[in-house]
Amino acid sequence: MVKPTRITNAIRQLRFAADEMTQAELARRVGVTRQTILAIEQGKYSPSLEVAFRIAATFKVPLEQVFQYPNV
Amino acid sequence: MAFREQGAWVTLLAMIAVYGWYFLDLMGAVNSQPVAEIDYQARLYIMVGVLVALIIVGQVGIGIYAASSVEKGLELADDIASEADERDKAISTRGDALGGYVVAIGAVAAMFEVMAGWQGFWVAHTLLVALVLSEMAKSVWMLIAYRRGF
Repeated sequence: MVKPTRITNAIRQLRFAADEMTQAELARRVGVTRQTILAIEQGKYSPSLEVAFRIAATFKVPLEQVFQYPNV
Repeated sequence: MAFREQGAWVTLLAMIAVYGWYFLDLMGAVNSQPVAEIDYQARLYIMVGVLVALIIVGQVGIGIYAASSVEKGLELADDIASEADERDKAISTRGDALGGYVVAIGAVAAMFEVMAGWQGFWVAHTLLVALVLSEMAKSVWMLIAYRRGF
């Protein structure tokens, strides 16, 4: 039903490295619901570029460190 | 459970309760007297009103609840109530699209009924069923989307 995405992400590791930031805290900073952060983290939802960049900005890393796409 | 998932449950259960009761009641009438003698117009005005009210109350209720939560200093991340974020909006939009298909099928069915000379009773109720099923389809889709992930 929901098309699986090939995008992987390192949000969990980045949260851990950022003083074990909670999903709720990340959601608050990015401006989405905690469920959305959860869905992104589990690879169930591909966020808009806008949200993707805001996540990267929150961790102060380039986008590619947050999201990866396999080389076809 | 996500705030909007709760909203979908409330809508779905309210629909089943209200329209379940209505159609059971109507079937009793259909079985006990000729359809042409049923004063369905009066009932239908009320039921269409109820349908519109359910949708509006649902939407406005969520809006007011979200706004009051924002006033209390709660944010999107607090899980309680909030403005819809991009994922909520995407789920809602897909639900509307699904509901649109259901209404379209009902509209075509009603068109054929009119061309075949069916009584207004049946045509009107075909359209009511289409509208009700469309809202229910949207609610079910939202429950699946929030449960299984979107």
